[in-house]
Amino acid sequence: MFTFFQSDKFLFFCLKYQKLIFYFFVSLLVLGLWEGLIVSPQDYVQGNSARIMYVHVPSAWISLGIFSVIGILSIFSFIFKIKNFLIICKSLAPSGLVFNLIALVTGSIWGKPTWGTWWAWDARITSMLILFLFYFIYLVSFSLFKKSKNLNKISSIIAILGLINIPIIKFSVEWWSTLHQPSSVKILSETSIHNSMLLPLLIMTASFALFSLLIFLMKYNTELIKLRNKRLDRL
Amino acid sequence: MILNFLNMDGHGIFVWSAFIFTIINFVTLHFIISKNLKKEKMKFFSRYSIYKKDRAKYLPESKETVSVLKFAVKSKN
Repeated sequence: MFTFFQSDKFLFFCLKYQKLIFYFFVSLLVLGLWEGLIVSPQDYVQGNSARIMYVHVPSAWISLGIFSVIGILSIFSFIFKIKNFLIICKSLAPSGLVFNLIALVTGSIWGKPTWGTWWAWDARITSMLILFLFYFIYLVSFSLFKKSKNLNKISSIIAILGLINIPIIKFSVEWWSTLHQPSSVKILSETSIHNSMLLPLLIMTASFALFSLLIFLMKYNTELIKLRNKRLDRL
Repeated sequence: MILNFLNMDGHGIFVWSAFIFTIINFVTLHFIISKNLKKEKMKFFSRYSIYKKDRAKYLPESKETVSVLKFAVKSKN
C-alpha cells in the first residue's frame, strides 16, 4: 500500500476518478437534501430545527475522522520519516478544517432555538473549538516552517497532541454534565434515532465523505505537481 | 404551501441558514483548491515547455528527468 501512495500510480488514479467522485457526491447530496428537508419527519420535541442535524452531525463525524487519520499517519511519519504521509496529512487538513467550522457554526445555529443561546462553554463544544484551533495551527505550521528541516517533526507533534483531544470530544458528553445531548447513533449498542431520520443522516454523511475525498484528491494532486515543479527547477 | 415549507414553523431561518452556510463552504473550498491545482498545472507545463526546448542540455539517463518526462506525457493525456 505504501508503494501505491508513493508512486505516480496514485496520481493517475486521482485524475481518472476525480470527475466520477464529483458526480457521485452531487447525486448523493441532492438525495440527502431531499430526504432531510422534505421526506424525513419533524422531531417530536425540537420540531423542524432538528433538521440541522443532517449537516451538523456528518460534519462533526468527518472532521473528527479526518483528524484521527492525520494523527495516526503523523505518528508513522514521525517515527519512520515517511515524507508521503506528511503530504497526505497536509492534503486532508483543509477539508477537515472546513467540516469542523461547519460543525461549530451549524451547532451554534441549532443551539439558539434549542437551548436559547448561540454559544455555551460546554465540554463538547469547547473541545470541538480546541480541535478547530489544532487544525488551524497544523495548517499554519506548513507555511510558517516551509523551509525548515524540522517541518515534519513540528507538524507531526501538533497532530499527535491534537489526537489526544479526539477521545475527549467523543466521551465529553459522558464524562461531564453537558448541554449537548449524548450520542444517538451508536455502533456497539442500539441506536436511539428512528430509521426515517437515520437514513437521510447516513446519506448526508456519505455525500460529505465523498466531498472530503474529492478535496483530498485535488489537494494531493496539487502537492505532487508542486514537488514536480521543484524537480524541474533543479534540472 | 411553499411559504409553510420555507418557514418550517418558525425554525426556517435557523434550518436554511445552516444548510446555506454548509453549501457556501463547500463551494468556496472547492473553488480555492481547484484554483490552486490549475495554477500548479500551468506552472508545470510552462516549466516543462522550457525544459523541452533545452532538452539536449540534460542528461538523458537521469532518474529525475525520466520521472518528470513520464509525468508530463501522462498528464497531457
